Amino acid sequence: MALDSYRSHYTFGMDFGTSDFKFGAIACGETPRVVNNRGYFPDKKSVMYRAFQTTSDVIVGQEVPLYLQSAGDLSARLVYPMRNGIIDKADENAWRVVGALCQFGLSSFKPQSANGFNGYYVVTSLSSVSPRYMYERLLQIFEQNNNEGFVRAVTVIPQPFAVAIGHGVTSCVVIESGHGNSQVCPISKYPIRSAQVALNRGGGDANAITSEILKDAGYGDLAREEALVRNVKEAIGLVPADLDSAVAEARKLPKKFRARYKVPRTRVEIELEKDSWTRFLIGEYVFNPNHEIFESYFARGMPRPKDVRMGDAVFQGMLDFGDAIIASVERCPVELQPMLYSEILLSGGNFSWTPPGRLEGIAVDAPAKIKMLLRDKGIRNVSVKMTKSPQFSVWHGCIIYGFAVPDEYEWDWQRLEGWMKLRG
Amino acid sequence: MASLTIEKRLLHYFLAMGARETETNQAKQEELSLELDGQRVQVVILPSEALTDRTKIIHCIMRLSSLRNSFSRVYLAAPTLLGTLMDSEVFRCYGIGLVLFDERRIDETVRPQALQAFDTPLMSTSADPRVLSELASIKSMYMEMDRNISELREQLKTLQQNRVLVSRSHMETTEPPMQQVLLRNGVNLPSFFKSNPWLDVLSRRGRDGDEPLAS
Repeated sequence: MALDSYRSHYTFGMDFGTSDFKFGAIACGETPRVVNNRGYFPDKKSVMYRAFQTTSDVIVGQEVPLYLQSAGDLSARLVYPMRNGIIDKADENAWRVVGALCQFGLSSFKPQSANGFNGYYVVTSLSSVSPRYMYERLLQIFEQNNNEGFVRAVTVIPQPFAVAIGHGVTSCVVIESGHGNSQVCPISKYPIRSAQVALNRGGGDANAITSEILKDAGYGDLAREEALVRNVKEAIGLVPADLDSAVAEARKLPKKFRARYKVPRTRVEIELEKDSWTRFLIGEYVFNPNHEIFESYFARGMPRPKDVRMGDAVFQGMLDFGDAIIASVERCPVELQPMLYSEILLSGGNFSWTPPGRLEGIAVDAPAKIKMLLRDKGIRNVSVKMTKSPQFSVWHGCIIYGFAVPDEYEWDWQRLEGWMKLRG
Repeated sequence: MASLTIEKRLLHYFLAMGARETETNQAKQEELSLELDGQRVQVVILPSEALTDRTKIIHCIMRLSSLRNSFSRVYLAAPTLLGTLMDSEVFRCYGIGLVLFDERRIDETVRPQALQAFDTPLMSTSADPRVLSELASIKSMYMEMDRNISELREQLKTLQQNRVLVSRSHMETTEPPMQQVLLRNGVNLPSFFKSNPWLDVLSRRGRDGDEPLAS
């Protein structure tokens, strides 16, 4: 590759996650820089705004906390643009935050022009369910804000595709599960967009059932605190190999399955005692919310995950992960399907489940649970793995893509791939 | 930083008084030939080190006497210490001007008498000669400061050039600061590039036969 030398210095990756914006030049090495994917629209009368004399009307990056004011003020002024991975076409504030983050990212890696710098090859990554207008708008942001010539060429790739690249697997199924939703995307050298399946279920739903469990156990006051509920979920939640047998075992031996969580640096302690078996519901609900045991929670007011349309995609609420993978793979050519089943990659914080050693065989991790769900539906000999670097695999994929794709491979709106050149 | 010689300081002093150099000024060391208000002015300088040399002092006085008929006004410029050794009245009697100097100041202690009757006075009678002298001294100091600032500017410029060279050499050695690298065509890359099949797959993008399987 003729451009190896140039791009080994000047390739730039940007990953717009739900909570975090990960960005950086190839020179970052293994780890990009991370800031919250959010922007604050300051009150122009505030002391901080005047003190810093900033000309920017949207603040991003590490400076955001300096401007935060009352809690009531936050909902109006603090904007997280990528909730659910999709930005409404008309949500101008969200797009302004995205533009500010792009500028912030690039200006954080401003190189010396004396070193032969002629603009970065920028690869950005969006949710696989992002509609076409999000691609249009993002590329437009780069076109309109390249006065300083930071960008030589720019492109956008879907996050599961970047995960596959970062992991080094050319034919696979990537399941990306975040806070709000999950996406199943088959890859065979290209992302197979027509076979994607999106689920309206993510880590937030596991929080919801954890909250219900806390209420039932007498901790209704604590169940309202979102951050605490998330910590309880991570501390006591377990994924059962088989829900019925795990619950039966835990009811029989509650001490062995004891679920206890002490809030650090406080006197607050949560103890599920005889209801410790409910810790298995948390993990099961993420992978399969169809078990009849969940009906009692729905009946008592916990919202059932619904099918919703976001952009061009329908996010299904109740489809279990096994069915979702099968639905996705079966939309691909038959001869490709065995290759796809043989490499299933799990990515995202919603797959971080660590079973305690003493509960081996009863509690399992995410790859084992996916294998079991597929086995129950007749799919065997599958390989399911967590990505090597779940937090940064998308950024790794962006960097490899930016480094390797030929300069002359121009952007194509049908393929949604290639370089959009901003400098000659 | 080297300070100005007394010759230069005196020259600046007289230039500030409105004099201008004549072409013969370079002819003789320890003397200044100037023109002020259309009159020829000669300044004989007695350097600080000559104060302990009686011969040199006598030589200076003889030289002043010899110049008395050739120039409208003559000055002796001598270190302030001379004022403690000689009565300035002597200079006034003979119409010779006396300028005393030290490391910071230059003062016209005795104004010279013009030789020709038609010579116009040096300064307006209405102006206070002490104010004018002070002004000339300040102007002289200003010119020296101006020179010092020019020298500082030069030094700053050199310093900035050196800093750029240092930062460039630093950049050459530290960029890119990769944590784990491997060699590919002589190029350092992060570890996640190692044995990654996508490098070949992606480098074939846009070539014949490389199309999406389904879309």
